[in-house]
Formats: sequence, C-alpha cells, structure tokens
Amino acid sequence: MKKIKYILAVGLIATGFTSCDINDVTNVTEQSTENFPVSTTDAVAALAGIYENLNAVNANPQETFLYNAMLASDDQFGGGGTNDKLMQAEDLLCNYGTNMTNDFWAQRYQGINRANTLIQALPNTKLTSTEKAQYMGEALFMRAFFHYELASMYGNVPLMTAPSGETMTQGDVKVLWGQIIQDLRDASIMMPATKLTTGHVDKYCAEAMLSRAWLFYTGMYGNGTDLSSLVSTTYNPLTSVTLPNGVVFTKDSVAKYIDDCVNNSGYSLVPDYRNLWAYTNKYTVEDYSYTKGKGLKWVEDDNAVNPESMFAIKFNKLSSWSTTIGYGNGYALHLGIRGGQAYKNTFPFGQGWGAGPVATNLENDWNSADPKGADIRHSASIQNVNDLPAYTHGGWADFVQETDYYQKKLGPISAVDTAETSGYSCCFENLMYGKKGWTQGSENMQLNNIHDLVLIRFADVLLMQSEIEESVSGINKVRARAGLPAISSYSLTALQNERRWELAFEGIRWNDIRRWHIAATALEKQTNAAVYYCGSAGKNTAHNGGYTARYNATAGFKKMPDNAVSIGSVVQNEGWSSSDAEYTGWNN
Amino acid sequence: MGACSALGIAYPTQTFAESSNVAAAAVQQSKKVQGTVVDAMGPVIGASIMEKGTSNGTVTDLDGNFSLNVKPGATLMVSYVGYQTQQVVVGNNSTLKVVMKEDSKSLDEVVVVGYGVQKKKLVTGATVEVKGEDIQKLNTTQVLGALQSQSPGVNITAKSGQPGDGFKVAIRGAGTNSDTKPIYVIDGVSGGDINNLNPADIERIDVLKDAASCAIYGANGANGVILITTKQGKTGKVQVSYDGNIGWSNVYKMPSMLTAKQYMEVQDQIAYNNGGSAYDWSKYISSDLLTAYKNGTNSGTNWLDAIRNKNAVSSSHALNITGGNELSKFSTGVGYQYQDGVFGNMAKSDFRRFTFRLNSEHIIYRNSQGLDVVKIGENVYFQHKQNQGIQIGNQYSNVLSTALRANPCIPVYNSDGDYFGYNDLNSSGTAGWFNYNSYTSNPIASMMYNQSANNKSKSFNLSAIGYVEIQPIKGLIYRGQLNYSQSSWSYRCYLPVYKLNDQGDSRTIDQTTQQAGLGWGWSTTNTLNYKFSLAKAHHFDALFGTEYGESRPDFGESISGVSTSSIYGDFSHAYLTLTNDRSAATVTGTPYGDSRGMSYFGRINYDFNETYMLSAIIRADGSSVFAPGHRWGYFPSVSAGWVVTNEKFMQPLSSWFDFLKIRAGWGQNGNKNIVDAFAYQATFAYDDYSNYSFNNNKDGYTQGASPSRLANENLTWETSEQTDLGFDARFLGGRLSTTFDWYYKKTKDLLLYVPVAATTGFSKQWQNAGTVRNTGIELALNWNDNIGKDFSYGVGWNIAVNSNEVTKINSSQTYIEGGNDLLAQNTGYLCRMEVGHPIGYFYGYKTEGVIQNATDLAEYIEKNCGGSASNSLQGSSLKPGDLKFVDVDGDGKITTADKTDLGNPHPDVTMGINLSAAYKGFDISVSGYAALGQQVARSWRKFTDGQYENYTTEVYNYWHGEGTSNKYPLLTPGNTGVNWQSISDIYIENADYFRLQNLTVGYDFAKLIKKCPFPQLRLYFAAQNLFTITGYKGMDPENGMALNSSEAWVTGVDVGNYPQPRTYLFGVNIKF
Repeated sequence: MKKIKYILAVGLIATGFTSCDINDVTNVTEQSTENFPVSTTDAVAALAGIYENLNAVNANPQETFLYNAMLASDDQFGGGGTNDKLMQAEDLLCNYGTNMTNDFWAQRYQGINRANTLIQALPNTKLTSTEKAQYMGEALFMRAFFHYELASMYGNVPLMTAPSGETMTQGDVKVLWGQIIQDLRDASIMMPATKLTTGHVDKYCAEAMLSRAWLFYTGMYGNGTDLSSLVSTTYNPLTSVTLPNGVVFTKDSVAKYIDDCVNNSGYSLVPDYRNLWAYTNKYTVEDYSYTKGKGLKWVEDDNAVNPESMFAIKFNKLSSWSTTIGYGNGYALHLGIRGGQAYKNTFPFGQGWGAGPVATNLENDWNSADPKGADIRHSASIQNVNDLPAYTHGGWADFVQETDYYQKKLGPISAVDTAETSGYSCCFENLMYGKKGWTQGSENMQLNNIHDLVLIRFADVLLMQSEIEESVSGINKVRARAGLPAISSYSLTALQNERRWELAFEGIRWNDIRRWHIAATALEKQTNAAVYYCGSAGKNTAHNGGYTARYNATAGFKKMPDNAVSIGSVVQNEGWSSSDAEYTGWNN
Repeated sequence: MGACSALGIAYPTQTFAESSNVAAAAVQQSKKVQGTVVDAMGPVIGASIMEKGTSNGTVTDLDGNFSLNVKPGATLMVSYVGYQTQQVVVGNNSTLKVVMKEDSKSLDEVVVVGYGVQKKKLVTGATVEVKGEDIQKLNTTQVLGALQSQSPGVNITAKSGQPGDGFKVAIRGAGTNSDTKPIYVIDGVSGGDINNLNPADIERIDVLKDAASCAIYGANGANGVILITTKQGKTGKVQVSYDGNIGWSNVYKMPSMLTAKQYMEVQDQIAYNNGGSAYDWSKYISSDLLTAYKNGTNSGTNWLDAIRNKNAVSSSHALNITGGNELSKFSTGVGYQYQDGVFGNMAKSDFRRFTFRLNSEHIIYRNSQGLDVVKIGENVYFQHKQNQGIQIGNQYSNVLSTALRANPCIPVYNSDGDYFGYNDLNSSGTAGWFNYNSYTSNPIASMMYNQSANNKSKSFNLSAIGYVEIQPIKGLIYRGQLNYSQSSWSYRCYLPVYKLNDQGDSRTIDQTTQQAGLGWGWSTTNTLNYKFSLAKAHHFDALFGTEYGESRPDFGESISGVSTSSIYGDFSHAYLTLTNDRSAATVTGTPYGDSRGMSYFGRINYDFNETYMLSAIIRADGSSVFAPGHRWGYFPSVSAGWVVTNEKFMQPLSSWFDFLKIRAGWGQNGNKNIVDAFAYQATFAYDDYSNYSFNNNKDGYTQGASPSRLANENLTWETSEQTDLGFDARFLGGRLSTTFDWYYKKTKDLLLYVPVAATTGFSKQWQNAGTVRNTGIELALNWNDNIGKDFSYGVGWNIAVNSNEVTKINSSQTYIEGGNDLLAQNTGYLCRMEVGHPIGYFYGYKTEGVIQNATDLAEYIEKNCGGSASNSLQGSSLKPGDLKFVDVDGDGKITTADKTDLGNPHPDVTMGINLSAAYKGFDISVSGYAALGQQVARSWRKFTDGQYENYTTEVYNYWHGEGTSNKYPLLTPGNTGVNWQSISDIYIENADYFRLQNLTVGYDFAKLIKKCPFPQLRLYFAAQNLFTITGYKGMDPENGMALNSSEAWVTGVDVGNYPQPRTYLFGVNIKF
C-alpha cells in the first residue's frame, strides 16, 4: 500500500512539474518582415499599401497640402463656418489650435515609410527584373511625391530614405530637394516606357512630377535658402542642381524628360475643356442650364479613361465611419456648398462645408484679362451663385468669407433622381456607379463623392514644357483647346496667366506664386475684397497683420506640427512662435 | 492542531478510517453509549466522538446520532469544525445530548495568501479579508459594488450605472497608464473575471495589496491580487438556503433642464450678446405650439425625463445547498439576477445573469494514522449573461449626452403619434426648423433608430477546476490542479433606415450585424508544500510550484458579419441570413493570439514561537509576448513580522491589549499587460488601411499590406516595487481591532505606448518608458460588542490616503497626452500623464474669475497680459464678461504655455463606514463610502460646435453684467469666443462625495415563531444609494469610465454619464 502511494505521488509530481516550452509561438495574423514581401502578390499588396496613403489623408483633407494650397492661394478664401477656424487660418496664413496639420504630417511619413520598406525589400524578392523596375519606380515616385508635398508645405523636413525607428531630424534642405529630384529621375529612367491607365503611376508621371519638383525648387530657392531669400521678389531660378548621387542635373536635363513626356507618353488634351469636369456627367449635363444642349460629355462617364489624367487619387464605395473615411473624396465634401441647401436650389452643385470660396480678385482679374469672355475656362471653372436656381447666402447663418463665386471643378455634383423624395441624388456617383455596394449606403452626401481627383493633368505638362524651354508650343496647345488664339512669343507673364486660368482651383497656384516670387503681391489683392460674413456683405479685412506680413514672415511654409517640435524631430519654422500667428476667429 | 488546519479544514488529528476493527477489539469490557450532537440550529452531522486517551471513536450520522462502546467512566471528546471541543463524562448515562457551541476564537482564523492559506496572526503582508456574508448583505448585482466600502486601499469606482457595467479598480493607486485592474484569482485560477460571479456564490475575498504578498503571483501581481473563494462544501448536515429580493430603482438626481420657453429666451439672449437680435420663433415653430410654449401651458420636452425608466425593476434569486460527511463534502448553488436600467425607457437597458456552481471535495484514501493521503476535488462554475444597453460614453452616440443637449422645443411625437421627424421639422413654422438649426432632430427617434434600441449581447462562461492533493507524509502536500475554461459570446445589432435631418442623422442603408466568438483555454498549477517544525518552536512552511498556461490560434476565434437590406427590417429578425445583400457583406474572423506562459515560484514562511515571522518569495515568469532573450522576469519579496504582545514586557497590558503585530515587507511584481502579443516583431499586416482601388474599381479594391507597427525588441516587464510597513492590533477582548499600513510603491519600466517621431512612419511605439510612484496609508478600525444577551452591534471605519505622481517619462516628450476632443470638438487633449503630476490630470487654463468692469479689465491686463490686451487669450477685443485666464508662466502673455494642472480624477482619500446592530430577531446595517479630493471634467454641451444645444438652468449663473458671476463668462454662441472654447477650470469641478450605499433593516421570523420549520426566515428591506452628499453639479460624482476605451488612464470626464440609481429592495433569506 505504502509503495503504491509513493509511486503515485512521485509520478504525479513528476508529470505536474514538467516544464513547458514558451518559445513555440507563431504570429498567424501578420507577416514578419523577415519573410515579406517575397512574391509578386506580396509586392502588389505592399504597393497598394503605399497608394492607400493618398486615401488616408482624405479623412482630414483640411490638414493636407493640397487643401492648404487651394485656400492659401490668392484664388480662394478660407470659408467655412465661424467655427471652421482652420479653414480661415489657412487662407490668412495663420495657425489655429495645437497640431493643426499633424495628421497630414504623420500620414505622409507613414506613406514614406511604406515606400521605403518596399524599396528596401524589392531587391531581395523573387520578382522579374521588369516587375522590379516598375515597382521600384512607383515606390520611388510615391516617396518623392510625399516628400514634395511635405517640403512644399513645411520647408525643410526630415528626409527619409530608409525605414528607421530613430527620431530623424532636419538636414540640408538642398539634399532634401536633391533627393526628391533624384528619386523622380531614377523612376523616370528605370520604369518601362508604357503608359498605364490603371491608377498606377508610369514613367511619364514620373517625368511630369520631376518637372514640377524641379520648377518649384529651382524657383523657390533661386535666391538662397534663408527666409529673406525665399520671400524676395526677385525671380532668379537655379539652373542646375547637384543630386545626392553626384549627378549634376540641369535645366537641359529636365527638358529632355518633359519632352519625352509630351512626345511619347500617349497622354493628350481632352478636346473640350468642360468635359474634364464632373458636372458634364451624363446624369447631370442636360439638367444644368450651363451645359444643357451643348453636346457635352464627361470624359470619365461610365468609367472611361480620361486621356488627360496622368496621376489621380482613386476613390471607392467602401469608405466608412469606422475605418477608412478616406475612400471617399473629403476635398469635395469640404468644397461643397455650405448651408444644407436643397439640391434643387443650388443645382448641380451639392452640399458641403463651404471651404475655399472663389476669391473676388480672381474673378476681377479674369474679367479684366478676358473682358469679352472668350476664354471658355472662365465660365467652366467659376459659377456665380446668384445664377443658381435659389442660392441662399450665409450658409447655416455662420458662413465666413463667403463670396458670390463658387468653383465648379472639384466640388460635389448632384443629379436629378426621381427615385429620391427630394428629386435629386446628392452625388451623381450614386447613379453612375450604382446605388448598391456603398458601405455607408447610397445618398450619403459626406462619403459618396468618389470620382477621381486628378493631381497631374497633361495640360500642366504642356505648360511646364513651355516654361522650362521658354517656348510657346505648350501654351498654344492649351490656349487652342480653350478657344483662344495662339501667342507668338514666350513671356513669363503670359505663362503665369495661362497657368492661373488653366489650372485654377486645382491646388497648383500656391506653389506657382511662391516659386515665381510674386506671392505677397498676389495675396495682398485679397485684402478688402468683397465677402459676406454670416450672410451680410462686408470686406475681407486684414487679420494678424495682413497677407503680406504673414507671407513675408513665413514664406508660405506652415507651422511645424507642435508634436514634431516637442519630440525633437524639427525646429519650429520662422514666423510661427509669436501670437501674431494665431488666428482666434473672424471677429476677434 | 492537525496538519490540515492551515488549509482551513481543521479535522481532528486522529480519526477513524478503520474504526470498525478497533471497536471489535475493544468490545469485551465496554458499555454502549448513544447520543445526539446538536447545535443551536439542530443536529450536527459528522461531529467526531472520541474516547479520551484512546483511538476509539466514531462520527455522528445524518440525524446527529452516534453510538459507541466505551470503557465505563470514560470521557468523550466531541469535536466539530468551528465549535469548541466538548468533554463529556459518560458516567452512568447511556444516552447523551451534547450541545456544541460555536467558537471562532478557538480556531485560528486563516487567510488565503495565494497557493495556500496562512494563519492570519502570522501573515506578514498587507491583506484585506472580506467575508462572503458581508458582500451578500449589501445585495449588489456585482461583487465589486459590495467591496467598495469594505476594502481600504482598493479604490473601486463604478464605470457607469448601466446594468451590467463594470468598475474601475485600482489597488493602492494607479501604477500604470493601462488598465489598473488587479489580477483576479478565482478558486486558485488566475485571470478570471469577477464580474461573472454572482455575489451569492462568494465564500470570501482576500485582497493582496503589497508586493510582499503579491510576489507569489510575480508578473501578474503589479496591480495587486484579489483572491476569490467560492462557497466550498462543509461537513455536516445538508443545508439549503434561499435568498431572494425584488427591487425598484430610480434616478437619484435629475438635472434641471431649460423649458422650451426658457430655451427660446436664452437663445435670444445669446443672439443679443453676439450683436444680433432676437429670433422670430414663429418662423420655426407652429403657431399653436409656440403660443403654448410662451404662455407656459406646454413646457416643451425634457428629453432626459422622457427617456427615464421609472421604478426600474430588479430581482435576484439564489439557492445554495451545502453538505457532506467526513470523507466527501459539496456546495452547489444556482442564481439568477435581473436588473433593469433607469434610463432607456423605450429602449431597453437591462442585464440578466444565470449562474451555477458545484464544488466538491473527496478524501479518496485516508491511511491508518488518519492522514488524508489522497484527496480530489473540483470547482465548476457556469455563467450565462445577457444584456442590452443604450449607447453611452463620449459625446457621439451617447443617448444621455444627446438628451441633455437636445432642443426642448421639439415634441417627442407628432399629431399622428409618430416620432416628430424630418417632415415635421421641415413643416414647422413658416421657414421650418432646418432654416434655423439643421442639427435639430428628435433624439428619442434617433435612439430608437440606432444601436441603443436594437442590440443584444450574450455570453456563456464555464470554468472547471480539478485537483488532487497527495500527502504522503504528514505536512508534505502535493497539489496538482488542472484548469479548463470555455467561453462563448454573441452580439446582434440592427440599424434601420431612417432620416431625421440632412446632416448625417440619417441612414440610407440598413445594417444587420452578427458577431460571435468562442474559445477555450487550459492551464495547470502544481505545488509542493511542506510544513514542519524544529525543536517545537521553529515552524517552517515551504512551498514550491509551477504554473503553465497557453493560448493558441486554434483555441478559439471570433467572427463578425455586417450585411445590408434586411428582409424583415427589424431587430428581432436581424440575422445575416435574413438579408438580401449578403454578397456585399463585410466579414471578419480572427483567431486567438498565440502565447505561452511558464512560471516557477517558491515561498518559505518561518516563525519562531509564532512571535517572530519571516517570509521570502521568489517567482520566475516566462512569457512569449516578449522578444526571445527578454522573456523571463524574476520577482522576489521578503517580509517580516513581530507579535509584540507575545513578549513578556507586554504581559502587564494583557488585560486590555490582546494583540499587536508589526509587519514590514518589500518586494517586486511585474505587469505584462500590453495589447499585442508580437509587439517585439516587425510585421506587415493585411488590413483596412492598406487597400487601393486600382483600375477604376469603385466597388472594391486591391487588398494591400503595410508595416503594422514599430517593433521594439527590448520590451520587457513593467516592474512594481513596493515597501510596506504596518501593524495589526486587537484590544479589549477582541472588541476593538485595527490595521494600519504605510506603503511606497514605485512602478518602473512602465509599458507605455509612447509618441514617437512621425518620421518613423508611426505615431506610437510600445516602450518601457516611465515611472510612477504611489504612496499612502490605510487604516481600518472595527468595534464589535454585545450589550446584554440580545443586543450586539458593530462599527467599522476605514480610510485610505493615496498620492500618485509620475516621476519619469523616458520619451523625448516629458508627457503623454490623452482625452483628445473629449469635452467638445477641436478642444484638443484634456488629460496628461506628465512628470511631477498624477496620471491623467486635467490640463488646461487656470482662471481667476470674470472681468467685471473697466477697472477690473485694466487690472487684469496689467497683471497677466504685460499691459496689453492683445497679449490676452481673447485678444485686443478683451472686455468685461471675459474670463481672466492666468498667466501661469509669468511671461506677460497668455499662450498655450500657460496651460496647467487643473485637478485629477483620482481621490486623495477614500473612506468606508459600516455600522450594524442586532437585537433579538432584528438587525440593521448601514454602509457608506466617501471619496474625497478628486475632480471631474464636465461638459454637457458641445461648446465648440453646438450653438443651439440646450442648457441646464446653470445658464442663469453665467455672467450677464457686473457682479453676476465670477466663474462663468458672458454667454455667447456656442461656436464663438475663446472663453468657452478653451479648456479651463470652468469645466473642472470638485467631486468629493459621501454615499450612503446601503441601509438594510431585517427581522428573522424564525426567532418569533416557535417551532418554525426554518432555522432562518429573515425578511428585510434595503435601500441602496439612499443619498449622496456632494457639491458636484452633475448627476453622479462617480465617473470611472474611460470614454476612449484605448485610454484606460483618462477617466473622470462627464459628458452625460449614466448615474448610479437609488434602489429600494425587499428580500428574504430562508434556511431550510
């Protein structure tokens, strides 16, 4: 008996105390970077992850470079309600609150990190060399594009060329821009000479973006890198840039790339300028008095490929409050007509938050430049709200910097829809792409603006070619499409005007006036322009010292996010530490 | 004392497994004695009867009877657990009646200390014991609710008053920014959920507060340990008891909302203050309604009142059966609880729980020396819970917040009896409501059309423990325990199509959600315990043990599906199969995480003559959640005690000074409470934030992958190090007892999700990056006495004082921010965790009143704004009626640098008081709880964008001319001005309170009725939350909910909380 007892005891204890291995664990829901990406499928997924960054920022479009470029420029005001101080602050080159644009900052670096991770991994994957060249080119393009936006918005930002967990700080701004140009040059060289219409960027997009980056950097920094050089009114662009890899890149070099893009890309101008814009879509065009009966047809009707669109943000029906709002076009929502006005009253322009009212000075300048209204782009780009069926001024009784002019290019477009009780569909996309399959349902005016937002248009390429080569061929192609006569000789003024009219409200103007060193003068024209405040006519009075003072204090660079400063990644930009920089409200 | 006494079982040392043989040998010269053993309640089953000086004996049967052959003139020793041993001289009697007397003093009280028990008088750590009956008598639905006033140093704060909602628990202050909840060890198994237990199933709760006690739980012990023992079997007759009650709950304090008339007046005033003129209300409100509002015949809608659920019913039933004999004993119970919420009304906010328990223990082999060699037992607990609730939390989708803000001019119903909706709003007045305020919509309709009215959660939890104890030689016990748990849950929700306005309070596509999860887990605990003495005076109790647990992906999974186009279009048919659009459904499914944990631990307790005690513990914990090389942590502790009253020099005081023990301890504990099991690994994830719609694919996208985290290979345990000094004392024959502790707790290598530079591509990273210190004292006093035979009474009072401070943040920022936009949109971070301040303190501008007049204005500008109004926060337009923001940094300008510490949500002092008295069959008890020194940040309005939201009558205290207010500024539209839009101390309120938690009056009719068939038949009436004394202006000063679930450290924010109700209960306790 005793024996059995002890054997039993010892046996149980021995089993009980057996040590178990704690190291035998596997992560089944994620891929370790040690074995990902390897295959083409992996690389496609990693690439999609980089492009998603274009959508990510749409959750807070008001913080982005593109949005800021619209509102800060001389062509648009801030707008929005009395509580949308951020919109007005962007127009007035001021700050509102802490970390005003931190989401954008953080998201763009997230995009850069995604690109760097793929760039680092690609050489070791099992992809074919052609695939590697295309994917590497796309990743380099995206990395450069993200850096371009950050550097345009904040000035000297930390340059990231490899994934790193360390806090990276600012280096030489020349190296930053050198790397942007180098990445785009490398992408232009390595990518196959194939035009893509899939939403992926191709060789020619890289060439176009290379030119855009070249023009901004050489213009903006032509006088030097200190604040006084940046805000100098002298336009004296650099003619060569030494890239980090030692290559000396010149104006002649960039001309070759833009020529290749113009001559060999296959992209082309859409014959009628109005067909570029969504109000000519087939569900709207015949109900809008401006387009009715003119035989217009939107180039993107029924998912057709827009021959002029080179690089665009793609959207889809799957945006949801709980995950990715950015799958819908947040810019359109923000730019939409303020005040919850009935669709029939503002047709065909849909509802939104009233950001970026057209600056009265643009309307005035355009009228002076084209008194006879020969330029079709004028009416194709600007709507006088008093000509809408029944527009009400004042928004929700809180509209700030409201004007009589509404930009027509990028806002929400409604459509007649007898299936709806109001008789209208909030967004023509509900009809164009079908009412089924929307994560948050059809008729969601906040999320259902999902047609492409074009970031690089072939018209821009033609104008950049003219500017780089100081030739008229590009300008004249663009003018011809607008119904205007050719000009015989190149002049910077002519080029500047052509870009302003052709690319109005597309977020291009802001960097243009800065690199041409005409920003302060251009912006100042907004002062005392006619605006409405809460529905009452008044003036766009100077705030925080006025546009010129604010521009000269900052060169148009935004306040670095407070978080980035406090964590030691960057030092604060000039012009942002005094109370003059803080917008407290229109009437304060 | 037998060897088992330390286990709380206290069998006589010698018993009689082979008694029949012995009896046969002794039969020659014997006398047969028969008898009955009874106690005050009736027969005692299983009492042992021994002939003194022999090994001859027996036990009583089910009727308490025994019969034994003894030598003539023998003395019988009659003993039973918890009773004084009786010596009975047989004499000439052959029939005996032995009456047993309860004697708690003869039995050394033991406490549960983790993997064992210890005599209370020898414990060298800081522990609190609460008996099950002290929990049950408060009649709470949740165990923690009853613990609040009885456990000094355990800060328990209700998250909300919604039925089924839990509590925030912090033992000795918040030592971490993640959840401060302690580890719950239920019947020896770590990691259970106390909220799953019916209070009626609890036998006792032991709280281990200091590191010396918790070290035996090593990496799980940093937040303290709460040991819960469910009711165990007892040898003796079968006892059946039923406890039941029914109650009615109501909101204790309703805020005073503006009526429709007052609302219109206030809005007119706001317009006037903003330079405008009064509204023409006839444009927005139909004329008859407007007339009724204006002449006061209709006061408008009080939305909060409209969603009140008056006299919400609750009920509780518990049936417990306990019994057993010398070799086997059991305890089983079933319980059912139901509680309806005080808010919701049309929408349900209720909770129900069914529980079943079966605990039993069996001696399989008892050897000839009476040693229990092999014992087996099991504890099985099953719980089934169902609840549905209204949405609460932050300002979005919070039904209470919405009701507090909604426009009182909107009726609940239209003339057709439907909810006053979109068309009604459009056709109100000449212009329709929408021209006035697009955000006006019916909050009750909104509640009914959203999740609040259309959800149900169910859960099922089974916990089963089997163990074997082997005692090969006296004092050496091996215990092997296998723990199995299984859980499953489901959730359903239906979101119908509706439209209340054009700005988002609408849904164009319905949504059916079904979610479910299930899983199981196992772990094993093995301990070897040896108790022995050397030279009689040196007592040793040594323990060695191991524990292993694992979770694997195939142990369980959860799935979720969301589909649209419900066929039936209501909640009762909200199942995915009954939807038309299943091809477009969103589905997810995830497995359990993969993790392993292995632990080794040892403890040695030594005492010399029960006077000098020393205890040392070491535990080694290995966890796979850290990177290889960082997986093992070692947690030591040492503590000592001295029973001063055992010393000769104390003898002169012994007439009144019964007992004094001085204790001291030091130890370390760990915490690995981080969210991600693979935080050390650099990974890619296929997730929702990596997809892109190439190819004009509007209906889908290319699934993408992206780096999912910034890995940190060096992650390791959080370590909490604590020193404790204390004493336990008893005076006056045990009538007065006291316990005192002082502690200093430092939690270092805090696992923080710290902000990192955005250049990394991430915003945060897990790092061991901070240190928090908590220091405080705890004191408990108890007095228990009788006056005469029939009257007994007791007074218990306890107090705990804690001070919390962050002493180090290893990030490039010295602070971590939380609570973004919690009070209102675009107001930024409300709370900080910063060096030199308590965790989660409120951060904002300090004010020193309101500018009253021109002189005041000039003085303020001179003092705070360097002489220029443009340096004020309000700018050059600064005027009377504006707040005086304080220039904290003294630079002559009001900037964000002047934001400062405005208070913190943690109480400095908590107090519990418990009074009881009994006279014959009557009993009365009172318990109260106080929390002092904490603040609450309250805003019932979205003050940055909610211009047209309603106010409470507090609005009349806002500045409207010189001398009218020196706290609140001039009333301006909700969406303008920095006075209201900056977070400042005008939103921070002191939330000290005292709550009378429970008042119970009972009477036991069994004492009244002769020959009552029930040993106990007690009826009682109880009132819970009879009153709360507080200066706090909200509905309830108790605000333990973290409004953002990922920021457990951000609490004390009231944007419309669900208050604790007041409840009246009638109940009965019956013993059969």
